Amino acid sequence: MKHLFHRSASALFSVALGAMLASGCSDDAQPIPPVKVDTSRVVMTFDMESVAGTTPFALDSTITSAAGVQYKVSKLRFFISQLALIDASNTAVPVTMVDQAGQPLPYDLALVDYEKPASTTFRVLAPRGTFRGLAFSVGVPVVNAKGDSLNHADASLQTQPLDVDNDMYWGWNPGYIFLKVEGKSFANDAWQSFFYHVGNDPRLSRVTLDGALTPSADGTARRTLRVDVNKLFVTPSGTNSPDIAGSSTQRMAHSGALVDSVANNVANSGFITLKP
Amino acid sequence: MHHIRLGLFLVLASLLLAACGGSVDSTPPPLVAVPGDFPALPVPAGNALTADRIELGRKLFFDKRLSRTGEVSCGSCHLQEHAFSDPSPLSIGVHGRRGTRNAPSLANLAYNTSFFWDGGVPTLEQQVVVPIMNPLEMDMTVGEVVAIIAADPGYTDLFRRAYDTLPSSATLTRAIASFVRTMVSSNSRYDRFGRGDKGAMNEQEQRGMRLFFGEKADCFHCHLGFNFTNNSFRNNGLYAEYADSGRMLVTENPIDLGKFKVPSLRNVALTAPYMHDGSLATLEDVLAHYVAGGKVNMNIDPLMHPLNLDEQEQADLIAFLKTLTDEEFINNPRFRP
Repeated sequence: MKHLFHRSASALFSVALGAMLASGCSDDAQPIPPVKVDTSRVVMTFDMESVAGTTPFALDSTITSAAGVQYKVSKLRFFISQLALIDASNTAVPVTMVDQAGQPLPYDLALVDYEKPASTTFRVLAPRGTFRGLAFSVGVPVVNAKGDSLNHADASLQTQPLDVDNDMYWGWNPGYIFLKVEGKSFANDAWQSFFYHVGNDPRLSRVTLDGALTPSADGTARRTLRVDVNKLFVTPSGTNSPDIAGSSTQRMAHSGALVDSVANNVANSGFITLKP
Repeated sequence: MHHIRLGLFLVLASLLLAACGGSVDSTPPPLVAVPGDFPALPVPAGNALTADRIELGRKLFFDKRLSRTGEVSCGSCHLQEHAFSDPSPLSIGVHGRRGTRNAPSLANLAYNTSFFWDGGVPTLEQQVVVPIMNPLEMDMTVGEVVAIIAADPGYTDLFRRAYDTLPSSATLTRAIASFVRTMVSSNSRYDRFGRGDKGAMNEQEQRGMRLFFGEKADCFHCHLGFNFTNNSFRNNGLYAEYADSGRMLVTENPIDLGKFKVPSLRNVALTAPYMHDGSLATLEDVLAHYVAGGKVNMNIDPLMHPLNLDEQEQADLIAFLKTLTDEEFINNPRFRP
């Protein structure tokens, strides 16, 4: 937002002093510094290949859960943030998310939305070298690496993908839904709705994947992440939870133990793995 | 409890403009009159109060096009004659849909530390999108509202004057928050009594005031300070089992089950019905609830206990509560469409 106080002032006065005065006003935008291009870093691209167990996954197609339940997913969205490559000494080296042109993404995060196929590809600006793994968070951190407040900032001030109308925002408890999965399961001869909306800071899931990664000098390095949607409903110890074919209180949640379980499954059940 | 400081602290448009280097030829009227026995009006960085912003917010507050059916504005459920609350226990939104909680009064929200009965929202600006997006209230996306407003030439100049931009989600929320921030209620008979007008409250009302601020009626442990609230969340034993989890919806902590924000009591005689669900119709019903001590549940507040108040004392308390009505506030033309 910009002030307009100088609009009515005399033109000369306003031109000479406008910028100086504006800088003294708290709600004036600061000039954006030019982007520094770090030539020691190269773009590396990650694609997602999505499955339900051994079956290819697509929205609205009938699939079978690990518990043997037929189900369909109508909506699957999640944020990816806080990316790092893990070097040979097991140190996580933070990397910046960038767009196709190599420019940093606003907020340094991406919204994966299966209704927008292009969103299942993301890019990072990585140091050259050989790495032994990848780490990232599923969700929106309280602050990002630059210190910008993210999860609880006023959403009406944010742009995509954190805009107030992104269908991932809880206005009543300001913060973003980290992961949203909605669909129908078939049980007792009927299709019944289920949904899990995972949010709230403690449920930011940290995913760590092992596998050799080599960002190449020409910026064409590409790896595939395997997303197994079934794993959202399987605990690290192999129990089927939450139960998408259970009672309505099992099938629908945006808080409590069931979404704790989904967040834990995202982090520790192999929801996302690095395809060899 | 009686802050008797004389004189008015006025937030002046000239001061705000002067702070930003503008030149002012004549002294404009004050944007908000805040008395010396109230804290200075909190205004967040990034949304300084100006007459244009308040005017824009006022127009938006009463604009029914902010709702899916074009039938519901902010002012539909926040009525000035009820100190900007709703006499219906649960307000009606678009398509006749009923809300789940009683619409609160909007007096002195500039001083609130949280918004809504469960306190989930920390700022007035962030509060604005909640009724707009709630399917039981206005049922819109913020983008849809911005598009409607942007297509109305009547708004173009208002947004330009207020924020030097076209309508946007950021300026929509900032403008409505600016208007609501000016809704200060500070001139009840209780206030005038505190400022030295000893004729402003009669003997019965003064007896009620002493009970209110004493251990016998024990109201003041929660309803204290200039705004008659400590902004905490309490379970007042309204139910043995709560249909609405209250504060727990936000914190997910079972110790917050059935806790709701302690509301301000300013203009309380005008804001019936009472409690988070509007389930108590009258002040007499409210008092009867507190005299009985509330229903035992796992989180009932330790301060809840049966009160030993006879009929006269209860009448005195209610007489006192009626002195919190601010006729100037509910008749102020600045808060009308």
